[in-house]
Amino acid sequence: MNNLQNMKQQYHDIPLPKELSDAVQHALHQNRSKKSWYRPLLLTAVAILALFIGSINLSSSFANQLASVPLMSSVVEVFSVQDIERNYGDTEVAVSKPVITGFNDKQFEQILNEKYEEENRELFKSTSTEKGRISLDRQAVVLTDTENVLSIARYTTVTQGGSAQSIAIDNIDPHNEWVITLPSLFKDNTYIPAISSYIYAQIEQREDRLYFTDEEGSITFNTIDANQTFSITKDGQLTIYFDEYTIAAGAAGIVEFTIPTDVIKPSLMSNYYIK
Amino acid sequence: MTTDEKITQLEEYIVAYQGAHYRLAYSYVKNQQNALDIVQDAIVKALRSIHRLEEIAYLHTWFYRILMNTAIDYLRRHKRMIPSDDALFAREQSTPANPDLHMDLWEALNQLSVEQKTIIILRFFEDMKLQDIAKVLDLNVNTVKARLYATLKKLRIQMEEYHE
Repeated sequence: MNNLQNMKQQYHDIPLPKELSDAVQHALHQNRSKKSWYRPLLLTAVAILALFIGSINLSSSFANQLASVPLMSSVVEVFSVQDIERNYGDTEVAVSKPVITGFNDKQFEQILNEKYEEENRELFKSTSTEKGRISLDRQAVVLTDTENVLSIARYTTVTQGGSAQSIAIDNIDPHNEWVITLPSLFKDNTYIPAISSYIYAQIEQREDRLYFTDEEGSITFNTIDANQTFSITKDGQLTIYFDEYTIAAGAAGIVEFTIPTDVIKPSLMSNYYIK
Repeated sequence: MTTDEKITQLEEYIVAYQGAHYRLAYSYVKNQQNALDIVQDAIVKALRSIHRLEEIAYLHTWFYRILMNTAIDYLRRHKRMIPSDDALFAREQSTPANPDLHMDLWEALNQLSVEQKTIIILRFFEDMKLQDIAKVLDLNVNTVKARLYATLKKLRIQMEEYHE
């Protein structure tokens, strides 16, 4: 132990350079001017949390229950599970995934759960190769949980200098155990121009001027994608989503439009999901 | 505790412990400029992620963890740029009063991995509790204990060799 005592003395004799105090002050100051970098991220997290609290009671347990849909034969449940968490060097990752249980068709259930896992792996892989500081945050949220529709959303926020938020939604029919796609709701493709012109008119009316325009000042939004991200509300209304920066400036965040059923009535296959 | 309050605590902590942080960083890289770089990087990272630190009581071990990871990262990125004969370099850097005694520390530490160095330094030079070292390394206490004994065994053998 004598050796360790000697070593301890030598360790504490390591001279502190006169530059140390300046270096420390510089690092502390450098952060002060960059504080804004993580502030928006915190706000985003709070906003997403607010979404949660409306529907479920957040517990600190490992898996948070997001939804529970009692059906004739079973109870379909959705949980949010912390999937990947890293806080290392310049990378900050907190990724959750939805996990579904209770389907009779176990294969269908497995396909969905594996898909969510795979999405996170891909996302994590794409950010881990990025240079510089990057933060990745992904939250699973259930938007609708009725017997007819289970809308499971994944909000992704990538912060790298600026931040970009995107959303992916699966609309599942828990009773029939299938995925509802946007085209499947309609008889033909006439829903695309019908929804697009409605959204265009809405953008024209909004005066916040966050929507992208071309050089002449016309709105650049033209049409929705045939498989545009959507959800169905518990009242059976169709809601269309756009990722941050796709049709509007970042300040608008993810943009959503609820489409009045009258607008799409002529194209609807039935009023089973959309009322 | 709000993020602002945490930042204030962290800033006070960093100023108070800068010497200890520098010495630990220095013992990883044995080079003044690199050690200063690591301390600075660790401070910036800590301030940026302080909102994730839930329990302010863990500030000390949490910061050491960041410091150690920053050093590991730094060593990985600058592998070729750090002089390979670093023991020699260290002796030039700090010109000790008793060169023989000085050799003990660096000769010994040179044989250890970053993790082993961290265990020895925190346990014996910084008098940190095993429980806290476990938090720094994100290991359980028994694992740290086992690694500490293994490292001591390794060191003792080398020290005997050196004295022979």
